[in-house]
Amino acid sequence: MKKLIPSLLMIGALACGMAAFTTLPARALVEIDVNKGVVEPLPIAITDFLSADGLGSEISTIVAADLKRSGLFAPIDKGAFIEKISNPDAAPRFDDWKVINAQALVTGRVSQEADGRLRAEFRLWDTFAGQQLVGEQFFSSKANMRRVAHIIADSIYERLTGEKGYFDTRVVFIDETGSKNDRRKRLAIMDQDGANVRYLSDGRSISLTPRFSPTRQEITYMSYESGQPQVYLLQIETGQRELVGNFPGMTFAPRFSPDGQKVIMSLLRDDGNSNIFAMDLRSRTTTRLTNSNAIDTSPSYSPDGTKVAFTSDRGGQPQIYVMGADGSGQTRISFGGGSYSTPVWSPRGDLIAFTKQVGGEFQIGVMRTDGSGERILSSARLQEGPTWAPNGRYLMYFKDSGGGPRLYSIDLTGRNEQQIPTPNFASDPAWSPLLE
Amino acid sequence: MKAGLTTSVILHGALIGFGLFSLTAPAPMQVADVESLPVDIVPIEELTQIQQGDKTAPMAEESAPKPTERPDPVPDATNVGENTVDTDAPPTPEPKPRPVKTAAVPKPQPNPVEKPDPVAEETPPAKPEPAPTTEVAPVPQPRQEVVPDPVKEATPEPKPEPKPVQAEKPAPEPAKEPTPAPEKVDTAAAPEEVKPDAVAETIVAEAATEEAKPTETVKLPESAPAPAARPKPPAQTAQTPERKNAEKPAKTASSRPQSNEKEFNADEIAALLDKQKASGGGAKRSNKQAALGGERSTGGQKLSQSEMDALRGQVQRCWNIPAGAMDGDKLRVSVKFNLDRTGALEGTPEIISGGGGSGVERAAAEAARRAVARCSPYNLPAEKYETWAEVIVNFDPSEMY
Repeated sequence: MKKLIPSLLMIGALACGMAAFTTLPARALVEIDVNKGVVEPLPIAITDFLSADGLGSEISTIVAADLKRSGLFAPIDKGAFIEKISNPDAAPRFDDWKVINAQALVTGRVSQEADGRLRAEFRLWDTFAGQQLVGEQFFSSKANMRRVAHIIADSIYERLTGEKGYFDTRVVFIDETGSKNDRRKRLAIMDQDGANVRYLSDGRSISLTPRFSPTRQEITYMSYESGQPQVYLLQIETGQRELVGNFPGMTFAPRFSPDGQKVIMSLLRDDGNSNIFAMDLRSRTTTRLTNSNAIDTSPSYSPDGTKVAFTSDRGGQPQIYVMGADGSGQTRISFGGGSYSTPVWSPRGDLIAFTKQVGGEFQIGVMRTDGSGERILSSARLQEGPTWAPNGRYLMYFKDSGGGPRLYSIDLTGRNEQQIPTPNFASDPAWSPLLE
Repeated sequence: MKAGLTTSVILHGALIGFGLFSLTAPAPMQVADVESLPVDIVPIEELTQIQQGDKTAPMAEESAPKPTERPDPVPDATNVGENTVDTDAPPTPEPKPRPVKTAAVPKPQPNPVEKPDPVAEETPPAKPEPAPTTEVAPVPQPRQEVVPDPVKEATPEPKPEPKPVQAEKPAPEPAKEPTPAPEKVDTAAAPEEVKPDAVAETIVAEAATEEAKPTETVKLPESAPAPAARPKPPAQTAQTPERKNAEKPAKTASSRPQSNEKEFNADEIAALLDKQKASGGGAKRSNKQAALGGERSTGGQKLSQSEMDALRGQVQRCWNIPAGAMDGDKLRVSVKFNLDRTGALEGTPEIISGGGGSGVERAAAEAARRAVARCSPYNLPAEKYETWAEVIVNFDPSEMY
């Protein structure tokens, strides 16, 4: 036995040596660096989900519309499909899809469960690698099918781009009806694609600047209900409403803190100066953050809650400033020509979106949080109020190109500007976080 | 007025007329009817790396010539003086022994090794302090330094640190012969027993100052009984003889006098200077086993620059940069793949770097693999198949934005 061990060791060492020799990677003969490519929407084939009724095709249509609107995907016309998917559980014939240049393929099925709920399942295939990337299923009532479709679209988006989706979100905005001199401004909410519009206020008093809570189905907004502008909180599901704080003078430009526990806003005193205050929603205590003789307004928290961006005209004309969440270290970050307003911190924390007014037109742009790297995404005669999609890749804002304001969304690269369909004129959009 | 005008008109007319008829267009440029030449930038390896390998050797993946052998070194001639034959070694003069030093060294060497051990272990029960006493010379030196310091400054804190270390390290050897120590105690210890006490007291004072900084003399009596302080003097004396062993200086480097002396080492300087390997120049050497190359040997061929550009262009057209790659330097992906003779993809492309984790990085890796697959078949010079049978593409989107 004792002799056996060393001999075994020998054999082991020999085997290792042999393995080292044989598994040495052969030298690659050509090596090239590619640092240019094309930026074009990814061709994707989204087949009709199998179902007894037309529901399956309805879902796949919503999914395709979501992906197409993102600007990153190009759903292929269904007429070009060669293979007809009859069993979504089996692997498709990838060659048939490669021929029509589909780089990804979505198959699915909608079926009814015994308890009356619907089951929606889908699979995402990589046609060139010939493998499944995602397979998921969801149970829900038929009324929720639109949301299920958005969730499926989010899942596909996330798997193929590597970033969080944003389709299963809602947008709260101000619906504007009536003539220019007698505008009715109502609070409204809809899905991010413009469907399911609901009104949250009756329009007897003017409502402005709604903002979503990052944690609850709750919004804060400004209303003239009491005669002068005041900040309110509104529970979306229950319709319950309350006044935030009871301040002498006007309060406006409210916005939630990232943890949803505080509302930051500006308060206008009689002397004409406005300063920024934060109010804790639980303890109802307020903290004064700025104390200047200028107009400080439009505060917006950074996603980690440690900093606040705001607008101030203390330097002569409105510019963007950043300070600590306790009001310390106020520094100006915008130095371009023109005046800046409505800074909004990106959910990713890396950028601040703003409205810039220069040379008689309005621009929507982004800059880094230290003010560098300013980039203008869109210019128009009148546009304002950017709000971030929860994944920090899209902005929504309202633009008035004559007649009345409409909502638009744009990619962070400045491409793919699209109008969001709304029943009437609309302004002041605010994007919700991803729904739970 | 009219006369001037008419002369002017006539003269101008004449001048223009003359010019019209006498000045003709220059002769047209003669363009030689030359066919345009396609120019290709060719790597020089095609000519310089023609050497294939050894014809008689077996086939192998890569070709290699016969391995070069190093000629046997001939020893330097060493005949000196009137010798006609090389002697094996040059005559070396007989070293003159230095009686004083060599005589002194051997004695301490055996002693310190054995003595510190019992001291470290056995000091608390018995008083085998004698160890230090054997060496008369080194002892006074530390004293002179130690004594003034604690009294004036009381700051020499580094010293206590090395002591425990030494006490631990000799431990494995221990206690073989506790007897020799006492023997020498009898002879030499007597005069010095008084002195170590003083040293111990001062060191005890140090120990006291370590704990609480007040440098009052009041603390001496308190710490007097402490046995822990006593190992210190032996430890110091134990170090000094061992300098010549050159083992412990590193460990005891914290004590000031020794470290300064030990820094100089003539041997080390020579080692630092001698950076060149002991090898000659000459022709390019080959260590590989002689081989006739494999079926897939490049034969010195390489894709030319323009062919590489063409390949790069093909991949670029297929690479749809993932949207998430916009703001990432870390999204570099390297893909390795094999091609068959028609330029079509063979097997599955392999991600050899990047693409770890999930999210954006995974999406970037998949986009790279998709690009490679979409581009197939590639348009490449068929006669150079061996050079492009295997391709690595490094995708780097960071320059795009």
